[in-house]
Amino acid sequence: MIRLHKHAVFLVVSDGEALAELIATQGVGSAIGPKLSPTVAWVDHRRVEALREALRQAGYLARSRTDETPDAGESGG
Amino acid sequence: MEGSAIRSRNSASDTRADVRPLAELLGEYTPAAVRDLAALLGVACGGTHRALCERVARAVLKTDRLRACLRSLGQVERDFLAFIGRLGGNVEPAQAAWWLSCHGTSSPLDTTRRLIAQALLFPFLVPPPPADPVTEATHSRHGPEHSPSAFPGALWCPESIWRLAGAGAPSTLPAQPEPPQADRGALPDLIRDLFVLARFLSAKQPRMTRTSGHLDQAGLSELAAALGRPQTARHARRLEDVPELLWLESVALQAGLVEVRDRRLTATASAGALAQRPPTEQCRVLLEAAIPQTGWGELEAEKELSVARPAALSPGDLDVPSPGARVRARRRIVEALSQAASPGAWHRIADLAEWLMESGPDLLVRRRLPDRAGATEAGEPIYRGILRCHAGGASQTIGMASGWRWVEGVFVAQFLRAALRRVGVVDMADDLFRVTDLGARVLAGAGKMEVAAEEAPPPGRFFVQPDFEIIADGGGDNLAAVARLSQVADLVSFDRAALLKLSRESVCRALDQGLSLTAVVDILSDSGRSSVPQNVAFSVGEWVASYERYQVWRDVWVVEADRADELDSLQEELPGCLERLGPTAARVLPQHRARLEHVLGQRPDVLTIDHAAGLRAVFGVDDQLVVTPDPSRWHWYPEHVLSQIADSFRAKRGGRRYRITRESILRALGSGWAADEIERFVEQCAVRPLSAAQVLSLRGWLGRYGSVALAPAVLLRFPNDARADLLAVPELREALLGAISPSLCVVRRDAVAKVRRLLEGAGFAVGDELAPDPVDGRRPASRSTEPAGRDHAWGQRRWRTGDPEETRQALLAEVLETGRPIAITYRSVITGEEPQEWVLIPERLEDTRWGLTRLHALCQERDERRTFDVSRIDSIVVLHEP
Repeated sequence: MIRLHKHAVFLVVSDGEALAELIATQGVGSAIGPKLSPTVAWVDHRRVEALREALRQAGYLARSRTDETPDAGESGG
Repeated sequence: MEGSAIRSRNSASDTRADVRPLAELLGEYTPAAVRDLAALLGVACGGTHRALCERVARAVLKTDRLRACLRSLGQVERDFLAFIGRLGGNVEPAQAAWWLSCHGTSSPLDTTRRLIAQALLFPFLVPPPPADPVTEATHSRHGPEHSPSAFPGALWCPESIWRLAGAGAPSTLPAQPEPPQADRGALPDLIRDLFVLARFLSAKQPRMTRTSGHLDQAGLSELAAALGRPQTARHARRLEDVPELLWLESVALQAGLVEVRDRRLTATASAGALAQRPPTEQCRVLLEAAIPQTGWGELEAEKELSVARPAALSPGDLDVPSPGARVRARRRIVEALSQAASPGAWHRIADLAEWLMESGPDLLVRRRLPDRAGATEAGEPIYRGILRCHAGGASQTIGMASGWRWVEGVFVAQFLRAALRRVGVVDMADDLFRVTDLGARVLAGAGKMEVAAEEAPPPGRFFVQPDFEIIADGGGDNLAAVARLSQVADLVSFDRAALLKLSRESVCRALDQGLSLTAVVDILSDSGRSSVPQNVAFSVGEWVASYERYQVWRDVWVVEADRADELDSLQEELPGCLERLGPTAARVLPQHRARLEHVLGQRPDVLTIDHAAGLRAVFGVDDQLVVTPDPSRWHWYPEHVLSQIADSFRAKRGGRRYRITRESILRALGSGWAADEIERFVEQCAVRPLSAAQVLSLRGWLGRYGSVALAPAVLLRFPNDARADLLAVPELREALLGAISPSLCVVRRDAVAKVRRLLEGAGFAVGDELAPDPVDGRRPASRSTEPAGRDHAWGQRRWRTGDPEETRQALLAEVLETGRPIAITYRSVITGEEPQEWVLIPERLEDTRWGLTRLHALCQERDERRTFDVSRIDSIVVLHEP
């Protein structure tokens, strides 16, 4: 079976350990869903802001991206 | 100008038969004949023969004869014809009378007649409007001999005449010597004020008053303090009293820099961007905002003028300019500047006003003919509703001709001083003005001004310090740099110097807004013109790298398959459309969404889930709150949520189930889930609506309800027909706590004996089948932790007319807090002054805008909600504890 998720949210981290660390972090893990790969996981779309705030409090800063956001190297001032 | 207005309204319906008698008349050209001709022309123009009218006029107006006629005219008459030419060849009688009065003509009517007799001016009829008894009465009352109004319709001066009389484009304004002191165009100050305003609004989001639609007093004081106007902050009560701030708010709203949302003023994204634009663009944006604004008026800002409504006039008869007239007038002033002023040269404001007057009289107010209700002693029409105030408090009417400078002239001067100087179009000095270079560049779009090229923006004046603080000059010309810096750093303070703080959060916010590392460094180094401390540059690089380490992708389309090979085959079918996220999931590239949807639409085994629309009907819930997933609609999200708010177990048949329990809900609430989120999720995802029992359990576990209490009660049951008689006895009424049906009342426990005595005394046979004890075979425990005798005390608590108001307020507040029922005696407006008794459960108090306090309550007897005016409550008795 194939599922097409529209307006979905997922998290991409640079390495697998970082993702495991995030999932284990109090307040952050409940917003993160199943992993799609060692470095990619679903995010509860209703709890994105709560996740970002929890990440900020835990000392992480997450970049918010959409399909329209250019890569860091491409964006202008 | 080729052709007159009359020709432009040409009609093709003239005939040769009409031409003949007029041509014959021309051969006998005499003043009397011209008058007849005028009458004929009037008839012709009033009908459908305008082309004929013009043809005849051309024959009459031979150039040689015209020159001779014009030579015989005085300068005022020649100027009058030129004035008509500037209006396009047609002038209304009121305008003609006004112009001639303005230029010292003692009898405008005689002058007009003389010009008509010389065939230099032609009256023509305008088809009369539908009969209006009021107008007819006015005309007949004043007679036709006052002014050029004796000629109905309008006056026409052919182009060949007004050209010979010297009309054309009005000349440019005469230059004046440079004044010793001048107020320079204040665009940098205005940009700074708008920047501060935007920051203030972002931080405070002050309320607007309901009546005026402006900032309330508290907001005004804070704004004035933020803008560095301490005097205004201390003394201003209403924004309308501070024209400068009212203008600022109005321009900011008009330019889209701020907006009103939920009766709060908030800054928009454009507010920060404006400070970073080139001055010419800033000036153009603000000039365009200053022209159509309606929240501020030049005349209202002039202290020597007041707007008053004479009793005899309706608002529609006032000459107070409408918002549309003000906008048109401002545009004419701007156009006049571009046409008549020389960039860099000083001109008199009065000359500009006169230029505008000569190029068209109806700048703000449409000229009128005098009438008895609105004319000076000299017969000059007045500005109705606009008065000139004198120092002693007296005020006087203003004539439209003699008082042009007091109304239209004042408008021109105020617009120059208050608007055009602030947006940087002009410099001002007493009664002089000068179009600035910046203004000339902006006005070049409106007229034919020669402009100098714009200078390159000066470098920003700021220093990035090793402790991540940035100190910048707060001057207006450095504002663009401060605004740029505030994109990547937090503005800590802003005065003569601006202090900004660079942090990881501020840099990440800039990156969220689409800036790159290069752009951030560019801003900090002012495009390489200044150096950034090494540690700061290193940290910024680190922050950007860390920011890239965690990326939350939102609003994306993801295809997920049960098996990797399914996704592989789809990717082969749609090459270049998918970006793999993992073995069984891939992101859909936005440009290929439609293609993918089309391909998937042809397959039977596809489930589409729109997370933004919310999930619907993905599981069933039984009476025990056990959740059974619907396999055809099941996916990771409901499973993820249920794993957190319910206990999962494997059923003997049918696979995994989830049971929502009190413990699982408490666990979810403890891990950060909000009660609302859980309740909404369960209600939306359930296939069928939850039963009342399920809702009760779920809400109870979520802590929706407060504590409840059970207590035995003494009930009094009586026949329906005895109700009114029983409740009429005060002693009995006081012993009852409230009705639970038309024939059942709750009796105060300490008054049972008294009630029994009263009823038996009245001949009732009192039975004991509704006695309170025991409940469930047990004696009732103590009902509350409150001290004994509390019931009695509450039963006696009352408020009656004449008692202090505070007692009533305190009693109502206490009752609302505790939820106790009350009995009130109420004088309703509808039922007259006859008081009625109501037993109520109060719900809330509401203060209305008219100063009334209303009590919203549930009337148990009638099972309906009612609203009571608290001031009409004669007595309140608190009945019992819940």
